[in-house]
Amino acid sequence: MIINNLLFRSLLSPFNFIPWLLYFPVAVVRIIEEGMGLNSFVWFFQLLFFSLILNFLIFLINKNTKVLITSLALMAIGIGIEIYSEFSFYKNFAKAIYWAEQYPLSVLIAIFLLAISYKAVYQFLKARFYLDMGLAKKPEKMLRLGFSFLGGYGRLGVFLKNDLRLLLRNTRPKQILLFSVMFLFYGLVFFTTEIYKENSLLVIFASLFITAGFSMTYGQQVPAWDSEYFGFLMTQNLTYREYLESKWRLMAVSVFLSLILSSFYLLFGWKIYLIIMTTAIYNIGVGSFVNLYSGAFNRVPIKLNVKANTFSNTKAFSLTQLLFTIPKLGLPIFIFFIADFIWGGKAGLFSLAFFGGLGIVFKHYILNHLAKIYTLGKHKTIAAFTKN
Amino acid sequence: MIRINNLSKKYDDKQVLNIENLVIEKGERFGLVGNNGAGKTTLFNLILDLVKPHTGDIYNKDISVSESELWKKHTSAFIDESFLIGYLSPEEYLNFVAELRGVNEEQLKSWIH
Repeated sequence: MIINNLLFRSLLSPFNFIPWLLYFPVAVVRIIEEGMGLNSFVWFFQLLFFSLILNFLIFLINKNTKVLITSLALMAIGIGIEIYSEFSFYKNFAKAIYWAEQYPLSVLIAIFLLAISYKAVYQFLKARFYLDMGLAKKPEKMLRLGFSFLGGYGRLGVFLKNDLRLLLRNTRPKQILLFSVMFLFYGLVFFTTEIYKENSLLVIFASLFITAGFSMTYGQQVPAWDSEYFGFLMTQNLTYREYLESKWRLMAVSVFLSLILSSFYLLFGWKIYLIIMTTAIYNIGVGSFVNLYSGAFNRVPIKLNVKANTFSNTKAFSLTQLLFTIPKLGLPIFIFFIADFIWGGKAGLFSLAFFGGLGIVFKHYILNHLAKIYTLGKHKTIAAFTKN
Repeated sequence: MIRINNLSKKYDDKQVLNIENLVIEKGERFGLVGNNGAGKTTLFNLILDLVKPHTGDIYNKDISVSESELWKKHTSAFIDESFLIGYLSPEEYLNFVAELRGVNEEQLKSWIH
């Protein structure tokens, strides 16, 4: 019963929704271009089921060395065959998916595979399940790095130093860093395919994610990252305004770093990189503030050293945050679409850069306003963090 | 100086604190004694604006703690719950608090040793 409950909750993990970011825009474009055909839905659900199968498979890889080694060996063999032989996994997988969407009943195969992977994880957990497993504690190690270079940034440097320690020393924030790196490659999905590359909305959508990976995943969980000691912070000599500005600066730096790291997209042409630069300005001047705004309503605490995986901390995924993804993703697309529709040419990109620039210019005003919103909910936030 | 007027706190319908008037002068050593559940921690939480009072006001050096954050400049506190940052070493923790008060590392070391 407990294992079934854990496994079911694992399916609702926010990490299982990440593949949606890949499939969803493509599915929308397919439905727009091909109509609400059954094939588009079959394709979407096939891939969704595969992502859930991967969820269980990754769990086994994480927990079982034999499965890890076997998977690595299979990957190595697969890459070898892909490179040195005529056989192509990619092409054949594509053929299989194409075949599957022609035969809607083939979705049963994916369900069958999902059931097998579920059963495998169930058996694995059952064999190792004992109730006091949570009591065992590993000795803690602490990564010690000097952040003296932040000394010149005064009080903001003090917060940034702590935030960097938080990011580098705790399990959950490290996952965020890993995802941020993965988001850097999000554009490859779209820019390598001619049909998607020509769709300006998809290109904007992908570009937004390339530099906003960190600011979105980290920003929307402010102030929950500090939930374990939030009461302490609120009694120290710092104002909400300073607290929020330090978080905003961290996000702005992350967008800037992502922009530099994503310079390999220049290989796809300077136009693509120009779009990434434009969306980066938008992410700093608007996106980061929207993330902070959504954080004001986030009262779900985070356990810093508990992985946000399947079997714990699923509470960190709140419905409020899910609802905020609509303006977060929809607003820039809407701005681009409207400007592009009315004026055409490069007006869509100029509009995004313009609003981003406005946000940066008026950051003091926006941060003051955000601080007021956060202050209004301060007692509720502290109560929620303390209660949990 | 801390000044408390007509302060009360309720959790649901249960009254946990009721102080008509209390003044703690600057430099005064003030001990608070009470049974479990008497409201000692609640009073500290109210003074630090960590919880919202049902009625009343608290002034720290004539600054209303619920209306301004300026009182934080001259107030230090340590409550037993959720007051440690788990990922900082003791030295880093003390440095963090000190830096927020404008005390540099050298000065802090001279105080500790």
